[in-house]
Amino acid sequence: MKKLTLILLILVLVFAALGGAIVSAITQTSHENPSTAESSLYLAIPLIHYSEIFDQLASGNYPEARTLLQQLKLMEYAHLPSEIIFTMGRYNDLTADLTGKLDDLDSTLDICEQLLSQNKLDEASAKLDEAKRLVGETVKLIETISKATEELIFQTAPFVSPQETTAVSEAEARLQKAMEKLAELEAWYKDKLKNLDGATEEKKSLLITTLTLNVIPAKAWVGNQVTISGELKATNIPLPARDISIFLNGRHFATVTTVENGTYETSFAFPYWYIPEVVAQSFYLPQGNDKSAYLASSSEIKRVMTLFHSTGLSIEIPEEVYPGLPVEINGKVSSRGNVVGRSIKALLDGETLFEITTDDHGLFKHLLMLSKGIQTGGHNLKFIVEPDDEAHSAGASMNKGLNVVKVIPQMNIHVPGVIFLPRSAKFTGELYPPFSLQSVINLTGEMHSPLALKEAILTLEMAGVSTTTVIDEEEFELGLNVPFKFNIVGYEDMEANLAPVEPWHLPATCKIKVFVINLVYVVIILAAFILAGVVLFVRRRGVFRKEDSLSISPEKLQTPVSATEFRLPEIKLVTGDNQGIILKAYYMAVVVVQRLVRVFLKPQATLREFSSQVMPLLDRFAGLFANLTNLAERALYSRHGLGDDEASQAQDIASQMKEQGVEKAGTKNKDARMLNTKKQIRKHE
Amino acid sequence: MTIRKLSLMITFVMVMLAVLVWCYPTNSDFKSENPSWNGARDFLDDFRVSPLSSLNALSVAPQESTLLVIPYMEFTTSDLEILENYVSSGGKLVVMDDYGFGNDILEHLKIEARFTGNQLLDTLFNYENENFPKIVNFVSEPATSEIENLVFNHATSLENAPHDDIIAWSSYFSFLDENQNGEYDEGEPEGPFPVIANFQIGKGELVLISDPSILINSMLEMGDNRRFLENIVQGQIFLDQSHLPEVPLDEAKGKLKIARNVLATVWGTLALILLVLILTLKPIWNMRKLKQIE
Repeated sequence: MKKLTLILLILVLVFAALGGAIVSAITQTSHENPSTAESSLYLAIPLIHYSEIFDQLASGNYPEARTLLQQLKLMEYAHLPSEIIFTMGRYNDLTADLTGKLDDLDSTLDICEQLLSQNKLDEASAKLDEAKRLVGETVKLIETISKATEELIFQTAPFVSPQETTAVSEAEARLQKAMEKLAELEAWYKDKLKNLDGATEEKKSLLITTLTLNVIPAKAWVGNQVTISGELKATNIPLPARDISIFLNGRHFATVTTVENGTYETSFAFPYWYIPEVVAQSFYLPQGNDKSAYLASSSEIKRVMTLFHSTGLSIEIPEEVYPGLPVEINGKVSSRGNVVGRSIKALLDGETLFEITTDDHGLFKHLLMLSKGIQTGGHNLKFIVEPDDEAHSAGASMNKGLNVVKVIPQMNIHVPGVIFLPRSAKFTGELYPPFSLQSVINLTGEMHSPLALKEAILTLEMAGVSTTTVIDEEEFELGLNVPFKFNIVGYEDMEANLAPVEPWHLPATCKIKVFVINLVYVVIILAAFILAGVVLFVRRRGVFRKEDSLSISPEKLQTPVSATEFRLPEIKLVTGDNQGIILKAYYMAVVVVQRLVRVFLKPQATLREFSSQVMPLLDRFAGLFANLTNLAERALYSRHGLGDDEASQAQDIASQMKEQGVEKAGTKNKDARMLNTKKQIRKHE
Repeated sequence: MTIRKLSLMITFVMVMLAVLVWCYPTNSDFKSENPSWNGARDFLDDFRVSPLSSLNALSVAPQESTLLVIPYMEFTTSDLEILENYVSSGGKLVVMDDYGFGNDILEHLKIEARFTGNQLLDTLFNYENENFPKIVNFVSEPATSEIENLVFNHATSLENAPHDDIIAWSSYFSFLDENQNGEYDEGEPEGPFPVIANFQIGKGELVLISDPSILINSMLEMGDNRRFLENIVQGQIFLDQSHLPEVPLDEAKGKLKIARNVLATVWGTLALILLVLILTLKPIWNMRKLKQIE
């Protein structure tokens, strides 16, 4: 019982230690499995967001509204039903349109006000007409959005979960309110337009002025002198001492004052703008008291053709370049103007790389040494040719892609297909360990690269062992010292890592499968099997032999098996002595009985006593032995002689008992010995 | 039942358990051998990543190599120094963290940016629910080339990162669930938040990603996660496995490995073979002995 308890306890501990490892492996982890994630929609969020957008629009905060709308630009990534995503996409377009319109409208109205303040009546009128058009479009757009909002709310309804019903209802109410605020804008804009109309009417009573402009020459080289002149009049009356603003290409360039006769004139160097033409225009803005008397005016546009020499640029660079290696850049500047000594600036990814000047033929060449640390991939190389103003030569620029790559060297390693371990054994001369098993795997290999490959660090790894060596030639040899381990057997992965020192190379890796035969392992396994086989064979033979000796031969029945067996009387037979025959047969039977039942005939016991002791133990021999005992008693004690029949009967009985008794004795002895063997084994255990 | 039979049964059970533990695939998060949804086997196989059981095992020169670190366990001082040397010598260090010890690394590297440690939820731009926020706002640069959206899984966000170093933001509809109730509450920070940042350190580069889950098997193919990882890795790629907590199954496997290594030695194998021989031949030996006794 104690043993059983102890065993059960051990079992429980084993299960707890190892079984827990398995059970805990099946439990859930902290990260969520996306394939089993539950879906949840938040439809109130976009509706609230739209209401915020419309609130901003109604308040005139168009940049803020645009920013908010921008958050919804990638609706295809929102977690919403596809039909709602589509509707919202259209809704976003309408909202963006409205935002733009309102922004334009406000800008137009502001410009109109400004023009009116400058007495630019014609331009102000044009802007006012544009503002009126925009107001009409805006009102229609607001109506469209209002209908779209109703449609969006209608489409959203089937997807609203019970938990979100309240939130969605509130969001819808907010959205409706924002739409109402937008609708109120119409009245505000109409009011504004009315005010501007009134202001415009007032300006119509002012005097109209006229301004003329002449530019000489009509074609001018950059840098050369250009003369601008003209006249300012109001109803044919010259206006002296008025400031005239000269604009070139929309930029204020100069201010000139009219003289007594209302004319103005100025000369200047034509700007070094290397563009085909320059647009000149002059403007008169009434200042001070003139504001209440005259309208502003502008001259007609005059176009001046710009004369200069254009510049061409061509660049040659390799398609692929390597870090740490020089790159030759060739270029040519071409121009009808000057090509000699032109400055070239090169920028790599926006940073200045080098500056150079062209030679007498407009050519340039530069050997660029790329940084070792430059990242691989595409880079932008920009070349800028500075303009040569003295030579009236325009500048030029060109972008070139620079593809930085690194090369992976080719590596081949030659390894035997099958490797035997260990390869040698050496005596260490020490007590422990007495010998060491050496396994050096010799390998050869080669490495190639289209670029210079001078030195590389080669690391060879197998079964947890590695060796590192520096390779400085294309072909190499090395040895991997593998310590002896029993688990290095079968297919092993050998990995070779080549780490070149040059920055234009990438590391290379090579994996090879090697079949390892562990000789010691094989020998030990074989020896173990052979030993087991030999022991088994030897032991089994001995057992078989001994099993034969378990049966008792008839001769042995005659000799006492132990000291407790008594010697039986010897009967010397004489011819015709039936008594002797019967007694001999009886004693033969006694020997059999003694062997069978292990009860021995004592010298002082009578035949009757012996018979009563053994009868209960004899199975089928009981009857036979009883008859034989009877015959023996008659032979010993009867006054009458016994005939041949009785003697023959006695011999038969004895023979029967002997034959059958020998078999049974052999079986019985065998069983007895097996029982004893088991008892002995249990004792030893 | 005899003691002998019981002993045999116990031995058989123990051996079967050991085989089961040995063969059962690990299911630890981010483990290179884990093929299930939370493992990193697909990433390792497809990107030819070398898993590192220790940072000391970094073998190649740092230039043109990428080391990905998921700091779910505390770093020792020597580990932090290894990382510092690695990145300042030209390596690319990618720290992918959400609720771990990534801030220890940033402090050691003297970077101001930090992982907030609060869960980032997005109620609109997400996959299935707010725990899977989609990142749709990117700064145009090589790491985000051809990237339109990333899908995160129980992510966090960054803070104190200089604006010029941030390359990806969560959406306007995201927020940080500070009280971890799964809902937006008044006062909780609202998006957008920086989630990916890129710094130059010495000759190397540091990339911070506020969710390591983008490289697990179930997330690798979502959105443009795979494309993004292809953009940020270069040269030889290493994945640090030494700072991932081990589940009891992994610990048991580790112990079995130790036992296997002991048995693989000369004396260990001889002892095992001797034991097998003794157990096999003992009954026959005992039979002989008993015969002799008789």
